Amino acid sequence: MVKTETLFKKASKEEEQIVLSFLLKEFDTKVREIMNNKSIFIKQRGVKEVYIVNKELKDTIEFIRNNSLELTKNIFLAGYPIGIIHEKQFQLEITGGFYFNKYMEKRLIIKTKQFLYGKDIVLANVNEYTLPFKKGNWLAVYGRGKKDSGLFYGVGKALVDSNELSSAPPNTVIIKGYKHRPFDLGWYLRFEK
Amino acid sequence: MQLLKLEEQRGYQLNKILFFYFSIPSSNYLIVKNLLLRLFVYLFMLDEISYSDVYDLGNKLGYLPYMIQRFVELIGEKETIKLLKFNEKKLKTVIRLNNLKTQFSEIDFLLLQKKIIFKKIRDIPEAREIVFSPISIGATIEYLNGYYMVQGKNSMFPPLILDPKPHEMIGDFAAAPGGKTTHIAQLMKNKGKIISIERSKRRCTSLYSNIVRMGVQNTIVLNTDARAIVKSKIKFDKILLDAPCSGSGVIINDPSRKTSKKEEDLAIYSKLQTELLDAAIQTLKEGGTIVYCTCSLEPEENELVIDRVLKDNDLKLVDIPFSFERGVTKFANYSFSPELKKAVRLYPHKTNGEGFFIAKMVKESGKN
Repeated sequence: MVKTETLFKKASKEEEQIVLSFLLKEFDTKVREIMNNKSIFIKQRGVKEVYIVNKELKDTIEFIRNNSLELTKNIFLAGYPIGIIHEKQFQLEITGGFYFNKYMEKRLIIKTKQFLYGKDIVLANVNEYTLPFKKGNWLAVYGRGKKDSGLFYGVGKALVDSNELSSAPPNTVIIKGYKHRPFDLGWYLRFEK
Repeated sequence: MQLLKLEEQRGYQLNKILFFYFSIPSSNYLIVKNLLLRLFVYLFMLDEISYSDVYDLGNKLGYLPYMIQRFVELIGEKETIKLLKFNEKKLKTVIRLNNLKTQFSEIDFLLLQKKIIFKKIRDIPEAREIVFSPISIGATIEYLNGYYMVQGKNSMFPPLILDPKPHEMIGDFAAAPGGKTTHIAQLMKNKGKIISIERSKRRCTSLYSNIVRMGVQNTIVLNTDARAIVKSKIKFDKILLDAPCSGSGVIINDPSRKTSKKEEDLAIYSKLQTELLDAAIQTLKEGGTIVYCTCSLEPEENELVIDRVLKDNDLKLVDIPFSFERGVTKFANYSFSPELKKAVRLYPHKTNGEGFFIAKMVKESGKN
């Protein structure tokens, strides 16, 4: 019997729709560029992990499947992981942040590194933002410390609208930090430990 | 007379170091004090170990006697002493810059901004040796962004020797933790296909983490025994087999190897390595290239393995264009093909890095 939790397979129509509607909402017309010659694959490992796979790799996966279904079960990763599907919703993760950050125009530039330790980003730590954002928008977080000139820190979902910020107190949380969920780059070090 | 001069020089250096050491206030400049202490140990303590001969030195440094005997047989007493002494040192940290993320010049700039002092390494344009870093090199924001990977200098040679091209189908057998897979992807400009095989599920996780961090998108990771890949009927243009080995070339990184492997273990490794190489050869296209390497210095895991597969397959060894020591053609009771001089041996004390054996072969049309 095939154990579904270890199978690496092309996303079903429904799964594909869930991911594409997220991409459309966040990246609008750039989706065509992002998904050009690419497919969405799913690996079930407790949760449904979502991968973007280019055509060459897709053909190779199919070739492997045609010759050995057993080996297909051993695919640990193919292409690039971008997030998970949970309760019929796509959730972006730090890997997806890596993949999409060049397309993310709504950027939050922060002063401190606390976000890299899974901590919240509060208004007092924000240097600037590039475009107005709404509550629920995904933002790419960049640093602008003395020694970290404009490097990517991670991604996060805005908890407030940007137009509320001028009158908000300095301790207003803009992005929630998660120690045990991969939204910031520091997660790699926590994960290794 | 020369010996006297040397002693005089050493005494002078010792005085200078001790003077500096005690004149630095201990609350400040802790790093400088630690560096001086290391320099002191490096220059003097090791040489102070008195030994009657190489076997006595090996014993004092905690090696199993068979290892010393084999090193002496392989490289002679003088070189063995140098090797044993080198293994007591600490290798310089080396990083590989990742131009899948950004240009080398940009990464150099960011490192310099952090006051990290580095130098370029001959023959490896993407490598930088860290001379001094005020911060942990494995925890910078640049590291987390995948701008570089901390990696042994000599482990960068197998991918360079493999010379993968964009659009080729490459196999990386026994791939974790991913230094070589991500290096291959970089050389391929993230194009083509890499099948990266790792038997250990735990090690697949670190392979995954490094692939993602370094921005590699052209790879399939298979969590299986590399011998199973034959079932896929995939034919590779090029294969890198960094075979599991006894690790006698990396004692500098893992001193437990001085006692952890018995002489009998070498035969077990040799058998496994031959089987893995046989499987790799079966999946190689005619005209395809295979690079076999280990971090072992033992001829049974290296020349003997290659000698066996050369006899059973239409393969020819290809010269490796780097100026390293050549493969051996005689060891103990073994006599290997003279062709093995085309393989290379990277001795730790001669290359200032991890020990490696590397052989490059091309599959000719014929039996397989």
